[in-house]
Amino acid sequence: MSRHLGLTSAQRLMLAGQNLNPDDPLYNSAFLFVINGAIDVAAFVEAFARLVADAEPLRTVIKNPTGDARQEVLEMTEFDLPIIDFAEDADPEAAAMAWAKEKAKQTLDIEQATFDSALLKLADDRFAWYLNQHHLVTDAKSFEVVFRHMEELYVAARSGTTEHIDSIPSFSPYVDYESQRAQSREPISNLAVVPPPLYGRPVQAGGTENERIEIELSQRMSDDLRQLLGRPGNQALTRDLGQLQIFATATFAFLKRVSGQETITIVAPAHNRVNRQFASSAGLFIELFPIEVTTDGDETFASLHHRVQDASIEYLRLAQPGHADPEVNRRVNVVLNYLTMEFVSFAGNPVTTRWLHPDSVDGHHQLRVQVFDFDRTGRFTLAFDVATGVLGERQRVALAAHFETMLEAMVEDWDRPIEEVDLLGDEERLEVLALAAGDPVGDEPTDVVAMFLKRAANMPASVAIQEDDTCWTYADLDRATERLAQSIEPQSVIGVALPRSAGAVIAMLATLRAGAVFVPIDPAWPLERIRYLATDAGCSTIIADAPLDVDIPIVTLDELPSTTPTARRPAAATPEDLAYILYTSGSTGEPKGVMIERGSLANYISWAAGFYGPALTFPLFTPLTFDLTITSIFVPLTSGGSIVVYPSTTDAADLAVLDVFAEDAVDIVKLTPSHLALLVDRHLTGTRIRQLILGGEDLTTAVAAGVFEQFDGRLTIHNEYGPTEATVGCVVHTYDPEADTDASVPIGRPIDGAQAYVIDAAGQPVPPGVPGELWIAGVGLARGYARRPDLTKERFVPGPAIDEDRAYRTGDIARVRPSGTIEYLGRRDDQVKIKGIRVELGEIESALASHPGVTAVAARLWEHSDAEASEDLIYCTRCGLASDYPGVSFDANRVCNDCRAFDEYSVKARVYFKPEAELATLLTSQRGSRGNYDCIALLSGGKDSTYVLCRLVDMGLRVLAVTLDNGYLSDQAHGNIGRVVEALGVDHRYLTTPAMNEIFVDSLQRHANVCNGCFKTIYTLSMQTALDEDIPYIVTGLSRGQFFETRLTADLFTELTVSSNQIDANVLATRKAYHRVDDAVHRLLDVSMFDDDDVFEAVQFVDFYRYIDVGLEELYAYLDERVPWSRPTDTGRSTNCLINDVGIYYHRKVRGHHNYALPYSWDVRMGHKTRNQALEELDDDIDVAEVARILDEIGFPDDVTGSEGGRRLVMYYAAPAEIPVPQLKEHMASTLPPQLVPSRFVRLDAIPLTRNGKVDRDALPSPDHQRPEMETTFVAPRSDNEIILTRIWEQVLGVAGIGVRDRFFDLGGDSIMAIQVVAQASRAGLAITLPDLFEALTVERLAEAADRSPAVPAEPDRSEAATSGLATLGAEELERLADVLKAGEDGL
Amino acid sequence: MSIRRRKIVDYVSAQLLVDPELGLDEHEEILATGRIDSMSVMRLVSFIKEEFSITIPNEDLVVDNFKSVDAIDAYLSRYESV
Repeated sequence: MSRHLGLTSAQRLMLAGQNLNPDDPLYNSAFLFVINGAIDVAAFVEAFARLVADAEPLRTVIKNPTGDARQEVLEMTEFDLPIIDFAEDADPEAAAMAWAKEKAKQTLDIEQATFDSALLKLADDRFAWYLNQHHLVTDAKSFEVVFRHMEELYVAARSGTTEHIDSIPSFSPYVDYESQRAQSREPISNLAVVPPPLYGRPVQAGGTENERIEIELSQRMSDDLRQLLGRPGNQALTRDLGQLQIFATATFAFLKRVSGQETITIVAPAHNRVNRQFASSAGLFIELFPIEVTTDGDETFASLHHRVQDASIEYLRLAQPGHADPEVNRRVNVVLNYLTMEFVSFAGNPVTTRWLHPDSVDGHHQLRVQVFDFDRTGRFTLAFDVATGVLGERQRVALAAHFETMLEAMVEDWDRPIEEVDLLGDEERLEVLALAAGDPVGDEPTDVVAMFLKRAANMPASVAIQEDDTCWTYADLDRATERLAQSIEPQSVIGVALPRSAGAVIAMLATLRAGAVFVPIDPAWPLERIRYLATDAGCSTIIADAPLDVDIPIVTLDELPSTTPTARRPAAATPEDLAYILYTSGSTGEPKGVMIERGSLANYISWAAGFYGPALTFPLFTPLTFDLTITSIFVPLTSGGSIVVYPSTTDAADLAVLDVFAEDAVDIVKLTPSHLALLVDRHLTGTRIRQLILGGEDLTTAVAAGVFEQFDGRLTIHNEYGPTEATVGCVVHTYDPEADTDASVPIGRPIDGAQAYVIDAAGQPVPPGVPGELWIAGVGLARGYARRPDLTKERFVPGPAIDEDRAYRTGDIARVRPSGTIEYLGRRDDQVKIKGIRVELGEIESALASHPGVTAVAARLWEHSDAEASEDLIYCTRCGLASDYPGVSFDANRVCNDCRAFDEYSVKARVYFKPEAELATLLTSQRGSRGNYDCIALLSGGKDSTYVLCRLVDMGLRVLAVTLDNGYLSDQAHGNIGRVVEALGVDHRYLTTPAMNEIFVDSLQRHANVCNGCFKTIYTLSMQTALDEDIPYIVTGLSRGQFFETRLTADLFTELTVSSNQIDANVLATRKAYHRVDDAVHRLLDVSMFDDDDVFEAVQFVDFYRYIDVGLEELYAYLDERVPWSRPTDTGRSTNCLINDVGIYYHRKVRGHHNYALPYSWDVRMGHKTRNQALEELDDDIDVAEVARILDEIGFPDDVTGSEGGRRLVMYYAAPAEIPVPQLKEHMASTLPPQLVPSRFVRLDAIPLTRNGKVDRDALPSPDHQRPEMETTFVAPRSDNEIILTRIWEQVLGVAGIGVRDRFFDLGGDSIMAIQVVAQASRAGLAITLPDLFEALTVERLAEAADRSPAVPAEPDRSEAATSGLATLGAEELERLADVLKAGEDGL
Repeated sequence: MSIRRRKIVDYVSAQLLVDPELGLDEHEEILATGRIDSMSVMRLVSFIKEEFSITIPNEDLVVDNFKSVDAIDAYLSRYESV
C-alpha cells in the first residue's frame, strides 16, 4: 500500500521553484562516493535494493506536481542498480567523473522517481557509488543517513544477515509536526532584509544557470580557522555553531566589500531535526533562515564577529520547523552553508566524496558559499556556486580568490579593519591599473592661446562670438585680446567680474594671452564674497563693468586703450604656469580656490575638441564661475568654432538654458542634468542641436532617455565627469540607450592623459565591481588650493601606481566595470542612514526618476534638532518660551516678541474679561425653561478643570460633569475624577467613541499632536449630551485668556477687535467653521447638529477663566482644601492622559519644538504658572518605547521613534500635476527595499537649482511648509485677487504652493490665522470679513467675496468708518481706532 | 530535586537528547559531547520562557550557562532573587 502525504512548506516552496523551471535540474543533489577498495558487486546490488525498501525518500514520488501536489510513498520501486565499468578507460576516474557530472544534470521526472543511482567500476579495487536525489526528498544530513544505512546493509549483505537491520525512520511524522508548527508562523518583521549586490550587479534573480568553483584550503589555513574558535570571546554554544560564526564573519566581511553595503542579509540552512527520530530520518528537513548584520565603516574582523555572534543567535531564535519566511527567502541572494556531515569510509575502505553540481540552482541564489570537509581530511573545502547570469567567468574566478584573500587576512590579523584588506591579486592589480589609465598624451607642450592664435590666423573672418546682434570675428577677437593683454602684467592674477558677455570671454582670453591668471568672479555675488575671493586669490586688478567697493584696482573694459599698440610678443608662458583659479564652495567652510595650470587646461581642451568635434558652435549660458563653462568658451575658440552668448539673468536660477533650446542656434550644449530635466516635456522641435555634454551632477538614465526620446534619437548625449580639481572633465561616457539601463548613466573611461582609480580605505585599488573612492591622476590635476597647503596635502596624495606622486581624492564613490567603464555611485557625504541602511540619496532619487509622470527629482533628509540634545536654546526671561519656537525673537534682555507685544496690548485685553459675579448670573439665566442641569462642566481630571467644577458647585449650580475617556486616561486620573465627583456629589458621565484611535491618527497627521483631536471630540460629544439633556451651557476651562483653540494674542486687539462683543462674534464665527472642518471627527462622529447655526445659540460655550482670575498657588491651595484631588504622578506632568506623551514626542520630532511651549508661555503671562514651573513641565522624560507601542496600538505609521528619530526622508518631484502617493511609493518599491521608500512626497513645479544648474538641496522647501496631500486638486491662482489672497494665505499659514480650492482648515489654519488673513487682506486693499473667510474657506470663493465688496479706500471716510462694521475697516483705520481707544483708556 | 530542575531534566531527556537511551546525568556535559546542539538549546530557551516566564538575553546564551543540567539550573536560579 502506498501512502499519500501533504508537503511541508519547504517542499512546497521548492516545488514551486521546480515548476517555474520544469526542465531544469536545479534541485538535483548528487554525490559520487569514490570507494578506494574492492566492492562485492552482488552484495552491493542486494544492499541497494534493500536500501530502497528501507528509505522512504527513495520510494517517494510527487503526484500532481503542478496542481494540488502530494507526495506519495510507494510500496516498492522497481529499480535495477546499473553497474557501469570504466576500468578499461585510459583514465577511469576522469571518465567516471565526466559520466557522473553529465548524469547529475539530467532532470528527474519526479512523478516517476525522485532519485537515480549507479555503481561505477574504476578498477578491481576501486569503485564509485553515484546517488542523485531530488532536493525535495533529501538534504545534506539525509545523505549521511542514507550513506551510513547503505554501508550497514552492504556489510550485512556480504554475510547474508540483513534481516535484523531496522529501516530508516519515516519522514511522515515530520510532515505532521511541521504543518502544526507552521500554523504559528509569523512573518519575520524585525529584519531589514537587504541582499548585498555582488560587484555592483542587481540583486534580482539572474537565472538558474550556475557554476561551482571549489577551493580546498590548506591545512595551515584550516587549522588557523579552527583556532580562531579558541580566541577569547569566540566560543559559542557548540563547536559547530562557533565554526559557522567564523565562516559567517568571513562571508559578511567579503560581502561588505564587494557590495559596499553596511546592512547585509544572507540566509543559512537550519537542520530542523529537533528530536532523535528526526535526526536519524531521511528527507528534506532543512529550511533557510536569515542572518542579518549591520556594520560600521571601520569594522575589524573582531568587531564584526561580535555582531555576527549576536546575529546568529537571532537566526537560531527564528529557526523553528515550518517558520521559514518565503517572502524573506525570495529576496535574499546569498546562502551560507556550513556542512558538517562526513562520509570518510565505506565498509572499511577510504572514501573520496565528490559533490556533483548540476550547473543550475535556485535563481534567487546568486551566490552560495559552502564549506565542508566530507572526507575528514582536516582541510576545509569552499564551494562557491555563482550565478553565471550575474558574474562573468573571470569575475567568478576572482570572487573565489577575493574570498580566500579575505580568509587569509582574517587569520593573519583578527583586528584588521575590513575596509583595508587588499583584495587584488598581483595579476588582477596590473589589469586594474591598466584599465584605469586613459590614452597617453604626447610630450609636446600645447597652450590654448597658441591654439586660438593659430585659428585666428587661418580663419580671421569667421565668426568667433555672437552676442545679440554683434558678431566678433576671430580677427576682432585677436585684436581685442591683444589690446587688453598689453595692460596686463605677466604672472599677475586678474579678477574677471563681468556678466556673461563677449567682454568676459575677451578678458579671460586676454589674461591668458598676457601670461597671467584669471579668476572668474560673479558680479552678482555679495560684496563680502567678492572681497574674500579677490583677496584670497591675490588679484592685482579686477576687470569689471561697474565700480565695486573693494580695495583692489578696478578696470572697466571701456577704460582700456582703444588703439592697437605696437605688437608685443605675448609673454612666453609654460605649461606649468597657472591659467586660472576657480573657487568652489565646499560643503563646509570657506570657498577654496583651485589652481589650474595652463598645461592641464590645454590637455582638456585639445582632448575635448578632438572628442566632441572641431568647429562647433557652443552657447555661453552657464555661470563663468563654474568650470563646466570652460568647455563652452575654450573648445570653440581653439578649434575654429563659435560662441553664442546668452546674457546673465538676475533670476535666482538662471534659466537661459530654455532660450538656448528654444532658439536652437548652436550645435552642442554643455549643461547639468538638472538643466536637462527642465527640458523634459518641453516638446523640443530643434533640429540643429545634435550633441549634449552633461556634467556637474549624476546623470540618471531616466533623464537621458527622456531627452533622447524627445529628440527622436537624433542626439548624442555625453556624460562628462570631473571635479574642478582635475580640470573640467577627466572621465567620459557617451550614452547608449540600448546598453545603459541602470539607474544612472555610467561616467565612462578616463580621457587622454588621465587616470581614474577606484580605491579602498587603505589607498589600494579595488577589483572591478567593488565600490570605493574615485581618485584621479594625470596631467589634468590642479596644482592645489590657493593658500590652503593643508587642504592641498589632504586631497592631493601619492597615487596608487608606481611613480605616481600625485592623485586627487574626489570624495566620490564609484566602481569600475570589468570593461573599464566607471559607474558613479554618489558622494561620500551624500550617504545617509535610513533605518540602519546606508544609502546614497541618489539611489533613492533614481528609484523615482524613472516614473513616467515625473520630470525631475530630489531627495532630502530633514533632521530636526533634538530639543533635549540642544544646549543652545535660549528661553524668554519672562515667559520661558524657547528659541526653537517658530518665529520667536528676543530683545537684548532676552524677552520674547510675544511678551513684548503683550505689554502693548495687555491693557486693551482687559476688555475681554468679566467680573466673577456675572458667571453665575449667566449660567442660571435659563433656569426653569430648560433641562435639569444649568451647565455641563468639561472635566479632564487635571487641576484646571477640577477647579472649574468645584467652583461651579460652590456657586450652587446644578452641574453635569463629563469626561472624555480616550482610552488613555491614567489610573490616577480615573481615581481623581471618581473621588472629586463623589466628594462634590455631582452627576458625572464618561463620554467615549470607538473612533478614538482614528481621531488620534488624524490629529497627529494634521496637527502633530493628539490634543487637538481630543478637544474636538469632547466639544462634539458634550454638545450632543447638552442637546439630549437640554442643557444651555458648556463650561470650558483651559486657562485664563485661552479659549477654544485661540488665545488673546496681539492680533485680536491691534487689528480687528476692540470690544468684548466683537471678540465673541469672531470666536463664534471661528467656532462654527471649526466644527465644519472635514476631519476625522467630522467623518466619524455625528456632527449633523453643527450644520444648523441655531445650535450655537441653543447651547453656548462659556469660558470659565474669562470670569475667574486665579493664580497657580491659590488654585492648588484651594484644591487641597476642597477635594481629594492629587497631582498625578503616573503621566509625568500635570496632565491626566498617557497618550499625551505621544503627541509631545511626535510634535517635537516633526515640528522641532514642544507643542506645549506656547500654551505654557501664555499661562506664565497670565500668572497661571511661574516660568520655572513651565520650564520644569516642558522638560519631559518620555519613554520612547512606550510611544512606539502606542503609535502601533492606534495604527499610526511610526516613522519617528526609530534610531533616526526625527529624521525624515522627503522626496521632491517636479511634475505638472500631483501624483497619488501610493502610486509613487509603488513605483519606488519596485527597485528599493521597502524601508527606503519615503513616506513624504512633495510636488514642485521645478526642482530648485543653484545658479550653476545643480540641484539646490538647501533650497528644497521644508515639508512642514508644503501644501499637504489634499483631496482637492491643485488649482493655481488666476485673478489678481486670487494671487494676492494666495500670497497672504501662504505667508500666514506658512505653507507654500496653496491651490485656490484648498480649504483653509485643511491647510492647518486656525482662528488666529484667520484673523491675520483678514487683517492682511484689509491692508492689501481687499475688503473681506472674518465671516466671509469662514463662509468661503477657499481662496477662490474668498476672492469672489472680495470682488463683490468695494475695495478699501486708501483714505477711508472717518464718519463712514464709525458706522460700518469693524470687520470691514481698513488696517490703518483699525490701528488708528485702536490708538484712539487706547488714548481713551489712558485718559480714564 | 526542585520542580524546576525536574522539568528541565524531563524536557532535555524527552525532547532534546539525540541519544535519550543513554540516560541523563545532571552533572554531565551535554553540549561539548554533542548530546544536544545549538538548535536544541534554542528550543530549551523557548521552553524556559513558556514554563518559567524567563526571557534569556543573547549575551547569556553561552556554554557556561548550558553545558549541563546543573549549569542550566544554576543559571536560572539567578532569576529567583530578582
